[in-house]
Order: sequence, then structure tokens, then C-alpha cells
Amino acid sequence: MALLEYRDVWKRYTEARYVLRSVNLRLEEGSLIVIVGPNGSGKTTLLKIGAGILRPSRGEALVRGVNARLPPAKRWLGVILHEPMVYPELSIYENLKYYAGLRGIDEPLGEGLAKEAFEELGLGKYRDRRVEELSFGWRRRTDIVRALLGGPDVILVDEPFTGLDPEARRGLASVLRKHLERGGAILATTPLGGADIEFMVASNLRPEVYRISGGGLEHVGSPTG
Amino acid sequence: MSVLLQVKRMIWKDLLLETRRVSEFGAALVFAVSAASLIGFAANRFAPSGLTGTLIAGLGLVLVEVFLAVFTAIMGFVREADKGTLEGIRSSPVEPVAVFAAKLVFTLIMLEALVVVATGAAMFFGGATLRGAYRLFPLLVSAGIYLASVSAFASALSVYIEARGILLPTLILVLSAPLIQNVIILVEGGFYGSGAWMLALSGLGFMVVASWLSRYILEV
Repeated sequence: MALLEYRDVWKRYTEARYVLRSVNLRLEEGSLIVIVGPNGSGKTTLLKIGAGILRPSRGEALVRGVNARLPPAKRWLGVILHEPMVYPELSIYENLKYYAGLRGIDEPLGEGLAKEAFEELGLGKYRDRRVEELSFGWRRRTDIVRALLGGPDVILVDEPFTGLDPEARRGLASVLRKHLERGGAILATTPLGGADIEFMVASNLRPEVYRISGGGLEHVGSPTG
Repeated sequence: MSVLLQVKRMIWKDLLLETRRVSEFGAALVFAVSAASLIGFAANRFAPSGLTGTLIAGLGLVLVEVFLAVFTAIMGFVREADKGTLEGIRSSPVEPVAVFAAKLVFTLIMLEALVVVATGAAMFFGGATLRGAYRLFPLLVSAGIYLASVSAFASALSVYIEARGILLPTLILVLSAPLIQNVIILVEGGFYGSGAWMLALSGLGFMVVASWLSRYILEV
């Protein structure tokens, strides 16, 4: 069974145009799939449907065979969108504690990938600082750790390295590599011409690239050969 | 994990945020006190004989509550959407009805707290005329239950609509119209206490319907 599967997914926001047309995609254990496309091509929509945030107009997204919109499926997912989903008025730790609480976890940094990411991304020194006092890059780092709470099987990440400095990029690449080595899967998006794929290859991540165009997916291949 | 525990965590988070966003709750508070003081002043001028003034003040305070319901709607789902955190909640393993219930309870707490302050202000500025205004509490608290449901529901309904700045107050006024109508009838009949239970009951009814609908509203 695939960790994440899109089955004939269609999506339209208005009557006029389908953003996604019959998308079929499977993410198995250890797979890293990158969707490349220009702005407005439907990359984020695809990600949000996989995250169970958006309802497809037709078809379905399944996580371990469970509809992605249902709470049990969301336990297996970690979602990082372009805008960090953290509360500016709360500290980094309060944000993590709150989101961990929604997943039934008492101590957000007790163990697992979230704890490792917290350390790799150097968040310790700002642990009790309010997020509103921090730059976008630090909010993004906090958001990455938030998404890893509870050790998700699948990470869905929109433009993974955007807004991060070189040190944080290396830290994130290391976290993603560990996730794949442990049998997790990653679905990432990147804009056309972005440097994310080159960076992934340089970081020993082996992305399988798909191009999104006209609402459909086209397999491009793996830059590592 | 218990849904109730999730609801409790979401309410606690909202209350904590409110203590740190002083300007927003502060603005609602200033509005409540200003409006209530004017109501107190008017009641004192037009009906210094007590009972009539108190009843007029009761109607006025319910109308203030309707305005406050717009404030609390903005403090609810709308603000979560603006900050991008609504998607954080929706990507968490939480039932939509639990998300709605948490926002509803938070809205109820905010609204009732503001009503207590507003009534206090009306009593203070209304002088001798409104000394008995505390007897309006059952009416105001019952109206608060209904309006909290309306506020949370309107907030959820308009969260993905661009024109929500205009839609939100319109929606709240339209949904509150039956309540206002009932309050006018009750006030006309010299109402003080017992009929408030009917209002509370209708508020609870609306709460149940809104919670049931929330699973469809919060998904796009």
C-alpha cells in the first residue's frame, strides 16, 4: 500500500477552469517526489489536497488507504506550506506544545524527528522567544519542526528551501534525508527554474521529478540518473 | 485522543492569544463601555422612572451585543485565516466540528465577558434609573448564547470569501434578526427574567445546527 496516493484527482475553484486534471501519483516508502511548475500551475493545490486541507472536485487522496481529509490520515502527514502556520504571539515552544497537543503528544521535543530537526535547525537559542520577534527564516524553521511533530510518514512541503539561509538549508536537507532513510516519503513542490532540485541532488537526496502543466502531471525523471 | 481535550487546548490557546493581543480585545472593550454609557445616559434622560428605562437599556444592550458579535467573528476564524494558522489546524488530526466547537466556546466567553462590562457601564452611567439593570442579566446572557453561535457560524461561513468585510456584519445582522425581534416583544411585555430561558433554548438550538453544518463549511 502506498504511503500517499492520488487517485484520479481533479480540482476546480470556479466553473471555468480545472486546476488539476486526472492526477494520479503514488508515494512509496523512501520516495522523494518533486513537482515542478510555474506559479498558478496547481502545485500548492495538489499539496493541499494530499494534506487533506482541500477537498478534490473529483477523485481522492489516500494516506495508507485512508482518505486524507479524515483526522486519522492527518496523523501520518506533516505539512509545510509557503506561509508558516505558527502563531506570532506565542513563543516557539508554545507553538510546538500547542500543535503537539492537537496530536495527543504532551512533550513536543521528547523524541523523534521533530526533536532532531529542532536541534539541526538551531532553534534552541530562541525557544522561548515569541515568533513575532523573529525573521521569516526562523518562523519557517519553527514551522518545519511543527510539521514533524509526532513523526509523520509523509512530509508535504511547498518550496522546501525558500527563505532559509545556507545553514538552515543544510539542516533541513539532513532532516529530510533521515526521514527518507527511515522509510518515510516526501512530496515537495518547487517553481520552474528554482534551485531546489540542484540543492537536493547536491545534498544526496534523490528526487523523482514531475512537471505539472495544464493541470496534469508529466514524469520528467531523476536528475541523479 | 479525546476530542474534548483537543477542544480545551484550542480554547486555551485562543484565550492566551487574547491576553497578548491587547489592542483587539481592548478596542471591543472600549466600544462596549462607550455604547453602554450612552445607553445609560439616554435611559436616564428619557425614562427616569426606573422600569421603562431598564427595559429600554435591555434592548439597547442586546443591540450592542449584536455589534460585539461582529468583533468576535473577526477574532474567530477570520483572524486564523488571515494569519495562515487555520490551515495549521486543518492539517492537524482534529474533527472540523471540534474546531468549530472550540471557536464557539471562545466566542461565548468573549461575548459574555464584554456583556458583563457593558451592563456595568450602563448601570454606572444610568444612575438611579438603571440600578436594577442587573436583573437584565438572564436576558443578556441568553442573547449571548444565540449571538455567540451566530458569530462563530458567520465567521466560519465567510472565512474563504474575499468580500467578508461587508458580508460578515450583514450576515450577523440578518441571522440576529429573529433574536432582536423576540427581545423587542419581550421588552414590550415588561419582561425581566423567566422568558430568557426560551431565548437561551433557541440559542442552544442554533448552536447545535451550526456545529452540525460546520463540517461542510470548514472544507473547501
